[in-house]
Amino acid sequence: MNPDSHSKDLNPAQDRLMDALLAEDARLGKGRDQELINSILLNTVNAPVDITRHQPFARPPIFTTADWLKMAAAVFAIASLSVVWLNKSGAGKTQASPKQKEIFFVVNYLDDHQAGPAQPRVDRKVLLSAAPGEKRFLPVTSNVTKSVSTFEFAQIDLAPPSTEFGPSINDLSFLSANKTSFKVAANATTHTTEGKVVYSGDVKLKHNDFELTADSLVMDKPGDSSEVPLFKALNATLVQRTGAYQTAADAISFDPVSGELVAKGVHHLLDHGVEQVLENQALIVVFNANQYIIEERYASPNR
Amino acid sequence: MYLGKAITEKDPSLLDPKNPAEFAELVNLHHRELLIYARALTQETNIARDIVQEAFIVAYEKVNTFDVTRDFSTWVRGIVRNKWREWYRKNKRYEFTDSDLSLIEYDVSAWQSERATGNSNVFEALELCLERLPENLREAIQAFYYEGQSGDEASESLGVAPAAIRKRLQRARTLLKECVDGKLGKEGHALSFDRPPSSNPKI
Repeated sequence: MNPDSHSKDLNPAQDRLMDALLAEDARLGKGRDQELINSILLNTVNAPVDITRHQPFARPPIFTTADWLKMAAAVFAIASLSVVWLNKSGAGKTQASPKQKEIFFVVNYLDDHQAGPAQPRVDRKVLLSAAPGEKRFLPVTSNVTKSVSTFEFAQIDLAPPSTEFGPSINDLSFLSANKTSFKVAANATTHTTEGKVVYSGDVKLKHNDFELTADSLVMDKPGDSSEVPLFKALNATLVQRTGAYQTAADAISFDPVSGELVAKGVHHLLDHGVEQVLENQALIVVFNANQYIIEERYASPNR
Repeated sequence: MYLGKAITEKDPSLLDPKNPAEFAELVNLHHRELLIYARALTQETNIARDIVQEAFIVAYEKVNTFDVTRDFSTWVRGIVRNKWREWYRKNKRYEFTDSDLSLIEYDVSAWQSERATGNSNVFEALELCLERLPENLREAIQAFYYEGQSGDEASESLGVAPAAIRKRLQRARTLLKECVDGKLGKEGHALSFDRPPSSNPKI
């Protein structure tokens, strides 16, 4: 190593990386950070079940079986005494007293008043979950609804009230532009009971950073944040908004855990307009931040 | 119990993170390079350790979403990056561009790959390179990193100006980087970028 060679100084980021490497080497050398490993394992594979899963303390029963038996005996005794007293006093005979009639009339009146005019029966479960004026749909396995090919959720007008049960296109208002940083358009949408949305036919997903087109796309229902949820698109193309990168692949998925777009079975990869030479089509290309990584098949394919 | 020891002789590339014992091995295998990565991003060892720990915990919790045909180390590095972004949004004490991130990613992915394929790891390469460093630069590195002296203390103990110490440290890091890259045969690593990352817009 010649210190007088004409090496340029490192980029600040690379300098920072070497600084981190030297600091780590000075801290532990070639060994492991056993304390960190133990801590990770205690929170993962060695996590005690009782700690990770909260279970409220079991409360001791207020009444034991013996208490219940005593109370049952007492009730029985009181009931028996009441019967004896009623028999002695002549109550409970076939002729009802005027007072009893009056009570019966009042109860009847109240029932009629509450019922009001006859109305069709409504499923109580549906009413319970619906806020006033809110439209709710019964859960069904799936229901396909057509929409125009240039459909964008942020712009769609509300359709007239649907006469059929099941989700309509209006259900997808959770994807509105106000709430999320992306839009999806497709010829058809399907809801599944697992809470996923299936888009099929000329699918377009527009995001601030990229635009994706696909034959079909399955997406988890977005949460409250503006983050893109997990999705998988088949026979898809991905174009970076600035056009720097473009790729066509058998499948492109977004992994919100690592924040990466993963293209599998890549047919083309254009980098600033230059086709990249790919050795085979089983390549996985991972896009993150401002870069992509060609990830060679690392795991056994038959696993 | 998995106590962090290598319990099988399985090819590291075939380790299945969905198997608890093999997950433990993957933690063993990758945690040091991820610590360097996180420390380069955060510039603080303790925060880097927290981020790496959280990343492995998330990886374990979400392991069923992991695509086994993919590279586990890339996936976990992505989680570390996400965790760092969360931290950086709240603690933006320095400027860090996507270009900086790309450059660091490029090297760390190579180091992880070397480790996973059973070749020499970056710490072994560094050890060899330190031995080849010129005396005056090695002294500066020894004082500053391995003896924990501050710049001023190193300046005093080595009898040179503080500015000269800073320059020597920078020069030493540059030479070490070149040497480590050469030792690890960066051209041949399994994970590669098709072109050197540059200041391309975010995708």
